[in-house]
Amino acid sequence: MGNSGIFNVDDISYLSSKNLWSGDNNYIEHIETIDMDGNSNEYEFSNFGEYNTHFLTFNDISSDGGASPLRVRVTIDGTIYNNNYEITRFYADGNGGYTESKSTNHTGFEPLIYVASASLMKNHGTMYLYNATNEDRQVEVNYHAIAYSTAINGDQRGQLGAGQQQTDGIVEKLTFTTNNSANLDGQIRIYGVRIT
Amino acid sequence: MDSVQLIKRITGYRVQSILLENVFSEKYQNYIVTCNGEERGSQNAQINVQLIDVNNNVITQGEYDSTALQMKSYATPFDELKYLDNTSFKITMYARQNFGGFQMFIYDPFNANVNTSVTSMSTGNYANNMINIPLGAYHDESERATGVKLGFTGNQCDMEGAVYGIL
Repeated sequence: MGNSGIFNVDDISYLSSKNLWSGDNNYIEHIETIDMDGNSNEYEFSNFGEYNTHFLTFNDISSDGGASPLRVRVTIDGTIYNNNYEITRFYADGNGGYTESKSTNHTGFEPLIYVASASLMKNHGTMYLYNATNEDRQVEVNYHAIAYSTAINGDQRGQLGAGQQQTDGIVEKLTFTTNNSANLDGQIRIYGVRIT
Repeated sequence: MDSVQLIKRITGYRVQSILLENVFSEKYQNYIVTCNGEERGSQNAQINVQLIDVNNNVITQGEYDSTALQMKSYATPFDELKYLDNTSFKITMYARQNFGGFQMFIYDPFNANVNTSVTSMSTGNYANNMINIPLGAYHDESERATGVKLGFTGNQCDMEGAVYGIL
């Protein structure tokens, strides 16, 4: 098979025979990568496209400040919402206990609950975002993440949770920030999920 | 273009493990590993996951730390577990007779300067009841990994394992 980047009928037949051809039924498509370079406490995303479900990956997330959750806030109709988020979650500490947590009026979605200096803790995780482009629905998320320490043996925090912003409307922007003005480092990739 | 790309899929019949070798590379930073199948001995067996190093050796040292919540449809519904310095990402899934499977995200395994981290979610079978396990874990050595071993603690298992790269 050639490597021109364009598939002909024979290419598609070959890939289909190997069960490698996804055709027009692509599952997720990369939209944008946010490289947080350690020089700001806020990074934004607004290129939602026509997808109504989005998938996010977080890699090596840290900050230059004390421990704080990574907050994800939504902007709807020109207003960035700093509250009115319903959340439920649990997190499990390798050197501690299990914690169940909930709120009916939280200050943001918090997919990563322990963002701190890279020498103390780094974070990886994934998050699904639903209904961002549906004006009649409330935006919802679920997430699963791991924070780990290279400095303290066994110090890690597994996190699982979900949330909802209690405001209908199209999400115009996501803002990634913390509550302590620390500069953020790491990569966030945002994908559109095509459901056919 | 699809951002989830199949790298390797292996099927084993009546086996105790599947090796997914040479699947991590510089092309992708994040991966999805999937596993499903059928246990053949009516045992409450487990599927544990280990990393494979650059010399194609399975990393068997006690270097895996994890926390997991076992969510069960029977008995005490929730068990909180944590493992320190274990020899695998332990109890990723329980497998007895037909089992659902698991999906594991593996973050940055080919980067020799970071600790490979994972999150996974499984739906399995224990004593003919459903058990669901969300897990978060990391390898506490900074080391490049090139693949994974899906290990089965029972006698025999038919299973399929696959690795996908996320562009």
